[in-house]
Amino acid sequence: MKDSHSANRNSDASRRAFLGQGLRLGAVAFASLVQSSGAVGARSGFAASPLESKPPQFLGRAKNVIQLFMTGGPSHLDMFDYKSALDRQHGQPLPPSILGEVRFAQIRDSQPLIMRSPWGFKRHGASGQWVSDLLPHTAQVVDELCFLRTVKTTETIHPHAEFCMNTGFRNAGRPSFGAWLVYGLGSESQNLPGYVVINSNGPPRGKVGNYHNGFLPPTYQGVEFRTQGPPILNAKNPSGIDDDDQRRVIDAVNKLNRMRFDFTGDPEIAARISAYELAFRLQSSAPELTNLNDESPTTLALYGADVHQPSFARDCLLARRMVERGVRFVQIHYGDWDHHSDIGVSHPNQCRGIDQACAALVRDLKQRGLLDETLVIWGGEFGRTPVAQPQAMGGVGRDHHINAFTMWLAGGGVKPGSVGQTDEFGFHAVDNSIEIHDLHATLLHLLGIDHEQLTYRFQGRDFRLTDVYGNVVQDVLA
Amino acid sequence: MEPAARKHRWTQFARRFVIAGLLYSSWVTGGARASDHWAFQRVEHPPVPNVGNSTWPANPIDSFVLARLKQERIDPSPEADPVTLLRRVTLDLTGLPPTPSEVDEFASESSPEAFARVVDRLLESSHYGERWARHWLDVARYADSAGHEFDTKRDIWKYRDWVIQAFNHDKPYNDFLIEQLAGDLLPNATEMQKIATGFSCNALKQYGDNNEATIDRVNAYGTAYLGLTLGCAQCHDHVADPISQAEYYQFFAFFNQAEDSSYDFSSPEQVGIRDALLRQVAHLKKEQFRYRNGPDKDPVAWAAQLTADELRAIPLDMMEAVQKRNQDRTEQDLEAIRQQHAQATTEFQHRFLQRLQAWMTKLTDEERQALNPAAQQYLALRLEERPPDPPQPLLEAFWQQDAGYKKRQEVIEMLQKSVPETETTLVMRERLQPVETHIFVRGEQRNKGEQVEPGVPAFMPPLGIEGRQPNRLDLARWSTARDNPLPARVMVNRIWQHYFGIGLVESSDNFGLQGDQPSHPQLLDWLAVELMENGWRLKHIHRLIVTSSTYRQSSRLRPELAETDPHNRLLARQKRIRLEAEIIRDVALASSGILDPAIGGPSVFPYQPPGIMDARADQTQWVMSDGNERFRRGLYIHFWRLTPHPYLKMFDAPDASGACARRTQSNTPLQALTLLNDPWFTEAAAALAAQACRQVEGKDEDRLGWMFRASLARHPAPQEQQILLKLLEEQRAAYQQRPAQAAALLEDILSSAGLDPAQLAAWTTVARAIHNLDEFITRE
Repeated sequence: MKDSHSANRNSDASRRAFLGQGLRLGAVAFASLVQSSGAVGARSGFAASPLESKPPQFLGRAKNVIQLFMTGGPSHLDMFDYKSALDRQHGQPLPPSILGEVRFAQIRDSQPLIMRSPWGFKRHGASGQWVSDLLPHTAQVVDELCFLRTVKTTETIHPHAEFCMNTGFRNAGRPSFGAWLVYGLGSESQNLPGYVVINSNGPPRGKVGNYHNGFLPPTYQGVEFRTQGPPILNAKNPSGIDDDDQRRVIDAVNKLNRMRFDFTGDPEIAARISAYELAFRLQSSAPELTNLNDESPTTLALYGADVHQPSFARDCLLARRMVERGVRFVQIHYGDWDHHSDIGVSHPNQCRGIDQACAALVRDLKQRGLLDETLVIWGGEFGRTPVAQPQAMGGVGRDHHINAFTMWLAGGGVKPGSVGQTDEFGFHAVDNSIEIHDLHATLLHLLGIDHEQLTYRFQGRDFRLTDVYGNVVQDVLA
Repeated sequence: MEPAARKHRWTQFARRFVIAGLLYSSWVTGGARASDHWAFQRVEHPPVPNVGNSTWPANPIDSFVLARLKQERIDPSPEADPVTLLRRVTLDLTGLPPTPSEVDEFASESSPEAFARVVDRLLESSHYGERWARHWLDVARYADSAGHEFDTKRDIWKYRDWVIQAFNHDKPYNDFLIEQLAGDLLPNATEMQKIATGFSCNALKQYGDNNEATIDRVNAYGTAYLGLTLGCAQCHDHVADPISQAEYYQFFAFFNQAEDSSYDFSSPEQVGIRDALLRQVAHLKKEQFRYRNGPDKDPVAWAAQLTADELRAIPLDMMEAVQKRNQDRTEQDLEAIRQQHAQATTEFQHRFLQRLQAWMTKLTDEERQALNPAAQQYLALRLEERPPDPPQPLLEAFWQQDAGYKKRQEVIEMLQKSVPETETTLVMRERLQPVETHIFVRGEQRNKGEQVEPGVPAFMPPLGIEGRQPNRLDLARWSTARDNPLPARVMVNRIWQHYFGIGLVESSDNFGLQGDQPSHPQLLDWLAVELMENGWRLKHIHRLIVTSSTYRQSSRLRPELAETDPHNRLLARQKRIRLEAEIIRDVALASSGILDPAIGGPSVFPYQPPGIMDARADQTQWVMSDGNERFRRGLYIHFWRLTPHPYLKMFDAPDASGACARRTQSNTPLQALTLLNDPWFTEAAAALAAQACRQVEGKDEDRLGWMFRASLARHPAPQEQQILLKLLEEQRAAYQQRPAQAAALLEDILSSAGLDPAQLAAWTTVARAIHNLDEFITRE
């Protein structure tokens, strides 16, 4: 890869001239697209270019998001929501008053038995939050975290629950939270996608449905970075093509595409024009992004030994580097927390896979003054049952639990502490539940967006991430 | 405990659930309600609507569409221009672009009759089978490996070729389905009918887990044949459709009685020769082992292996003990054997050491120096200092020069080479013993619930088999019966989806209660009846659709409909559809003149970026195919489930993890980088440029026009021509100044011989621009 600066020196003036033109083209293309589909709520006042950075509706603290999505549904009861009643009543049936009419995903026993957490819990930090002994590093940053203890979803089955968490709707096809955000706020990076997805150790079960643009223009789809080898393939020009050659080809392609857009009116072409602009810049920015040579040994040590190979740690460090470079939304999937059986073996392994890196990410962002403007979201599509899921052979596990489970937030505008409380078994919320729409409304609020104003007109109706629901959870706000 | 705040929330939430709950309980309690669902009704021939004296309809499809448009007071779009139409129909039916001469011919006389002739020609093309086979292979989750972390390679491309041939021969769709589900059970099943059962063998499989594979078979059958998400009833009763968990395992029971096995295409003679050769090789290998290692360490095993010569060396009084059957042997016999064994072992070792010693003393200095250092070290010691066991490399060197050993080794290798290679494919076959099927409680294999027999859900038409256990063939016939409301509807809908971007039922993978309502229910049923009543011939349906006025409309967006019908469900226009992963590459190769159009055969390995195979646990490498093989069509690219070719994934090819009835369509900068920088496309661009330089003499405009038409079928507009000629000028100047760059671009490009490098490099840049146009990768 050539240094783009030296290669471009000669044609700097023409380049600047082009870029101006390119942006104008994009803006015009999008403007007409917006008009034709009547997009963007009247009061939102967003700029018309698809990826141009746009001011929030009000001053939010956070600008960027790093979402650590724990696919499979991590057990809140073995990580953060300590319940001494489980210790005391281990092996006894869960009281029917608690159990109610609940229908679990897999457990069918009418009297399922309570299971204590096999691991110790201690209070940590000035706030004295409970954290399982499996998470020694996370325990050291609890004072930065805001635990949402009563998140509630409607879906018991993985892909539906994933879609719910990421799009607010149980089926694939709706825009994801990241897509909505980049639609709302644009991208601060002209050289990297506004929305990057890393499937750390495999994709979520619902795959691309979890980071799709849905009915929003295709520009807002999450761009998936590879975890092995270079983050994106084909980032190098073919041999014999230098950056000027490449630039001229892209100029010609975009001009011709623009003419085709005028003729057909197809918004896919508008998206492709901006994709080619970004592609050109990605060729130099993506290798730079993943070159960790400029990270200090201290920083690398903070994330742990895994940071030099494909790992969750490396992905977290890359996420920090991305938000530093203006990426709006980084979505990392890490699984699989679906411990129906053998929880004694699989759960500690899984915790080891994330603990140090999660803590490092929060610390690293804070040291660099980025935590204030970055919102870190940790959580899965649901939690796990306080009752055991016995197995015919092999170790027990826990089933999916949707009534109340824990997520944590850190950073921009979030008040550390904890919000909501579950009953003595960690089964139901004893005070307000945080529905997924409430969660989305709150997250958007932290980013300076009124969830009722972030709309997109589709099939004659203004759609929102939060549908017709959602209340901002005030206790989360600093 | 119900705090006030929560109560308030409940009312907010209730609205949503009351409706869902009503839907749910309606079939649970009422029972009869589920059978009211439109898709579960028998398909009846609907009347074709009267649309007055409109001349627009070319066939009944158009009457259904027009009737609906009239309701909304919308006019259909005008017909697409002839060139667009020809490129559209050629891509749709064959996945390849029309040649410039085909364009010229059609443009000169674009009457409906001429178009009908084009359609006939395309339906007779053997590339039609490839194009539509790929759509079916999506639902058949075809792959060349078993999936999961080991992802073992499997030979099943003969099934892929069977699908291609079935489409090309217009095999009736009911037979097509029957043979894939139960071809092996048909009376006097042919080899081809057995190959067809590869459909079920495409299951993901790991550790030989037949239950997992069987579950995958049921689920794929559900999606492909019935458009139902049967898999939802695997662990519990289906939450949306009236399929209980027990009924799921009734389906399971059909497949549970079967297993996959490797079908060998060799003739009986070939099998005989091969088996004889393999037996001999095995025998010689055993002999070689004993020649080198001496008597087996276990006396009893040794006694069982004695050759006639060795037996003769045994003293007569011990012969009986040695030859007795093991269970008849007394302790005395065993003692005799041990004695003989010890003697034989000592003799062997003695002889061996003597020969080794003799060899070692005769070694010349040169021979010694050629030995491995450990061996040299050993030989440097004085005799009495040498450890009892010589180092392995020394022994190896000894054996490699031993005449007896060498001779036998040569024979073994020669025989191994002469074993004929076998061609196999995976097929289904019934297991010999009846297999009981139990419900897997909570979906857990180890947790067996009540036993179930093969059967079909109660809400569907009955299977009608009395007095014997129904089998897969019965299921296959039931699945294609005229009374079964699903298979014809599901198939015509999938076909429609490929032509219009969205099916008449948008959820083409789900015709159940949670699926979408059809946009044109009567049209859907009319097409389904057309299929069933015309011998289940799919070409009949294709012909009807592509010759309809609905299909032939322009795909330009209509701003006035953007608000009311943004997704074109009313069909007031055609739709621009981005080409599929395989087809984008096919079109690039074909328009550049380097496509190898060969049909069928083992999967191929075109260029792949390095490092992709690193994600595998095994050492399997991606060894690029030779010569023209790497220019074969995309559907022949070897598909490793664990590590699919990244290009395919980039452009949304399915991952073969399950039946895929609908591909997603993404539009990302990574796709732009692929088209810009992937060596495939550079090679295709250079080939297109070279072809243009060779075939078109004279003016740049003519050469550009030729390239443009080879790629996009149409002529460039003046402004387009101007932009590309400017690019050409700039690149020509650039490459004349940088000949090394031109040479670098054209390195390894076969077609560049004899052409001026700067000239060809500049034209290659123009070809790259054309290949990167949205229009190039879109069917308009």
